[in-house]
Amino acid sequence: MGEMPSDGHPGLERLERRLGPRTRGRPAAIALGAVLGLAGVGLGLVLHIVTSGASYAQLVGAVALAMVLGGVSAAVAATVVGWGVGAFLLENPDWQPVFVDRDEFLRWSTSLLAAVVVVGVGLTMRRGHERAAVAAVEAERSRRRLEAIQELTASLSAAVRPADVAEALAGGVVEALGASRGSFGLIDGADLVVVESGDGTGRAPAASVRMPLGARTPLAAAARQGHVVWVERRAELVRAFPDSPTRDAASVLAVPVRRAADVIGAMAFAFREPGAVTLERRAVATLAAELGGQALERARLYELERFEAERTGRLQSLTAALAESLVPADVAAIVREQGIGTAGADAVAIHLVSESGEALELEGASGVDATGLEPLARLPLERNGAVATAFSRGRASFHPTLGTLAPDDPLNASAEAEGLRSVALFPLGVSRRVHGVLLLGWRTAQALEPVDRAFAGTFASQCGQALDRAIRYESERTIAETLQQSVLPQALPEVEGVTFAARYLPGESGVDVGGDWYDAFTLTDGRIALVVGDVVGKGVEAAATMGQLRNSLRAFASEHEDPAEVVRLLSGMVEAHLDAPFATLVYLVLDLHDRRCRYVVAGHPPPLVVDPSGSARYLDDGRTLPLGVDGDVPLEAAEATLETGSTIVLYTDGLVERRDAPLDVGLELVRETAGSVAGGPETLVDHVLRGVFDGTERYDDVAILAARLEPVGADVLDLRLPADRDGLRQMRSRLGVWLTQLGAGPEVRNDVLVAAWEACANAVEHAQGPAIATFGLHADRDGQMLRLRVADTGRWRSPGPGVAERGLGLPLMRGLMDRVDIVHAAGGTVVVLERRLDGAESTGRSRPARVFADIPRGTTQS
Amino acid sequence: MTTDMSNISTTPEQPPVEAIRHSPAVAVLLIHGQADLHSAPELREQLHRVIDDGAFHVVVDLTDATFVDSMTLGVLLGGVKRLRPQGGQLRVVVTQPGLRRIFEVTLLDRVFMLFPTRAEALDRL
Repeated sequence: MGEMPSDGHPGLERLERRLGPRTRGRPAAIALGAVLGLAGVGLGLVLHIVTSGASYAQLVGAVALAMVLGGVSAAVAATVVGWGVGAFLLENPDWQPVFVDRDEFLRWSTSLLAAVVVVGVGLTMRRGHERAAVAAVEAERSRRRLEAIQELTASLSAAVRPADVAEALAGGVVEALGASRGSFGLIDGADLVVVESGDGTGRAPAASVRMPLGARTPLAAAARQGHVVWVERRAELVRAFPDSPTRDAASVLAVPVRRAADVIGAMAFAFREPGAVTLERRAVATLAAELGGQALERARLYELERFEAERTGRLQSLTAALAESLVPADVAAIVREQGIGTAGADAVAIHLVSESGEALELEGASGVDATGLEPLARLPLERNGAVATAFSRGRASFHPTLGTLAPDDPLNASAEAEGLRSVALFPLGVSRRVHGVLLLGWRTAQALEPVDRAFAGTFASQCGQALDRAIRYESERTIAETLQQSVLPQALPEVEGVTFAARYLPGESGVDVGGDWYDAFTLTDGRIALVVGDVVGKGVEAAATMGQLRNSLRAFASEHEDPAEVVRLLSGMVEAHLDAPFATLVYLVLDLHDRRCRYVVAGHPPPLVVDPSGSARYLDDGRTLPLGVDGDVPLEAAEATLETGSTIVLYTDGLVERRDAPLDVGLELVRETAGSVAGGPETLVDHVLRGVFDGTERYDDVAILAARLEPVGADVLDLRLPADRDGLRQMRSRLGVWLTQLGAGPEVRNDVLVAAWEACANAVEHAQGPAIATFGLHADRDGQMLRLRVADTGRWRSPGPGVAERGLGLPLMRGLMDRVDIVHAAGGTVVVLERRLDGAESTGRSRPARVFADIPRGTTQS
Repeated sequence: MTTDMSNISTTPEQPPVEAIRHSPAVAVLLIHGQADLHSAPELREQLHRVIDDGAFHVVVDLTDATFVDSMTLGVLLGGVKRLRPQGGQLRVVVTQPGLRRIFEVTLLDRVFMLFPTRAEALDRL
């Protein structure tokens, strides 16, 4: 071992002295080892940071620990090795064999072994800590990914409509991926309907735009090809996808969205930094696309279900509405209202076959302009066309585009005018009876899928059935109504000393015309005959029977004085010649000279007599079996003498029969009601009908006839007459008789008659509504003052410019009367006329009549 | 133009309005029975027809009329309006005081020329 010269460092020299000459090389060896160790630590740290890929901050804790342990162990190992190498180099400069003795060998091998062990332990510990650190980072990332996926799943499951899904996907995935923006596209025909997410800051997404499926964008490519597409650099994006916006995209990732096996769209995400499409991001995007596809499917099923529920609801409300429609016009109105929206239809039109059967006529339409449908207003069946064909073949036809129509089809022009792109036509009716055609139109082209066709078909079939029902019902009802109208007297007789009132009310259910009728006429000997009858049965047959009964009764009554004989003959005729099982009636003959009446009640409710005092009683005698029933019941007319001022009331069972109470109750109600009224027969009849039916539904039809024996020289005239020409003339003649009775002079009589005519004529002109429209005139005298009230159910026609021809009525009345008041009330218009009886000429003449304002001034007679 | 009588009727019974061509320039309309809102359309039609056929003056004879209402008056007013611009006259024959009063209270006696007989009405036409 050679002498090692001291390099003069005091610390080393002190160490050398303490360790002795055999350890002279050790301090240098230790220093060398420490340097090597620190270098190893630094290298490890750099390598660690570079390779970990994790963010520095997150790794600091774990790396610091690994670094310290690794560094320490490396330092120790390097120290030991350095010590050995240093010792060897220093103590054996001559490169003598190392292991000259056993001690030396042991020392070397031991130190080497120790170094290896320490390095091994250190490295192992460092790796362990490194691995733990990477696992922690990985766990953190997967937690975040999971959170994003969870959030997405939650927002997807809250999305019920496809549009919600698109929004949730476009926004949610952008956030999960940390992308700068995203877009979601759904395939629609040859296009993609694209929703942009914005930047994931929760701002409302821009309105959807359409992008051709063939566009050169990653989004379209993914949708087209059905696999993941990504681009790592802006240059590559510009080259491969020139249609793609590149404003903030350095890398782009696009994934297809599938429903079951079909690609239905795609999602694309842009990243500001290049190379951002990591394996992890691809996995997240793919998973999101899968979730999105499922959500879309769910949304589709939900929409389907909603449509289904809506359809069921539609059909239910349709059925309910149709059940109440009795005439074709009602059915057409319902079809028009409810057709809109059926299978999404924007337009509805209904054609019905014309009465001649030669053409289809437009009955109604909605969702369209009348002008646009002008070409379809009348479609002769001999000319072909889709609408006429649907009718004549009785088959529905669907036109997803109008190109399938013949060029000269009038439907072309209408569809073009209305902007309809698709049309469906359905025959309306039942198997062999087709009455019209239902047209549904769409302003956007429709594929008209089978489910829509089926639904629209069901709609049309319901409407067709209702229409068929209404048409058949209408024809029957029209006949029956006509017959009944012909049976009921157009006017009641005008007889001095009797005033009449009669009403016929059809059953409120309106399903059938009933068999109730009434008649009143003067016999040749001056007596007055009153009849109210009821034929069992409804509709045309009952109405026809009524007609025969009425005519026969009039014939028999003219020949036989005894009411019993008349009824006997009638009964025989019913039995022999009429199909009706039986009919009931009251026949009453009134002699005005002695106010005696004779009557027969054939299976009918009894007549009611209301005394002038107001006490009312039923005439319970004269009863026999209904007409047409053969029996041995003696048939004899009963007699009753009435007071002046009494009213006889004949009626049918509909007035007294009630579903909720026995007959007695109904009879008593009518008796009480009739007894509690003061006034003429018109008032009485109205009062009874109101009292009996107010607030309750009338099931059956009702006929009621009242006749009052008026005191001679009555100061009151109470008329209710049919609102027609005959009614007006009757009014004039009866008012004339009454005025004469009052002793009115010819001028007053003339004036009142003309003024009353004008008031009543106006009332007649306004008469509308129910089949039997009437007007009323009430006249009374108070001292020398005559007062007339005329009531209609409409509005007084006020004279306006250009209606001079009609406008003269009011000036005329004002000229003739002392006072004219026109009162407009809720129920109609009442005209009140006043005129003094004592002949003083009306002052109305001084009033200038403004109707002449527009007469050209010319030669006037001087 | 013929001068013979042209009789246009709408019902098999007595026609409500009868048109008589008195001279090329004068037509007579004879009204029977009730002249009211129901017969007014017929009267209007006949009045227009005789004017269109060249009648310069029209005489409406109400001698046989039992009743005249405001609608009839309106139609007659319409006739005056058509005749006046060309200087034609509408003369009315009213015999019954009751009917005459109708014209008086509406001041129409100042618009129409009223005569008690047809002969007087046709005089100097």
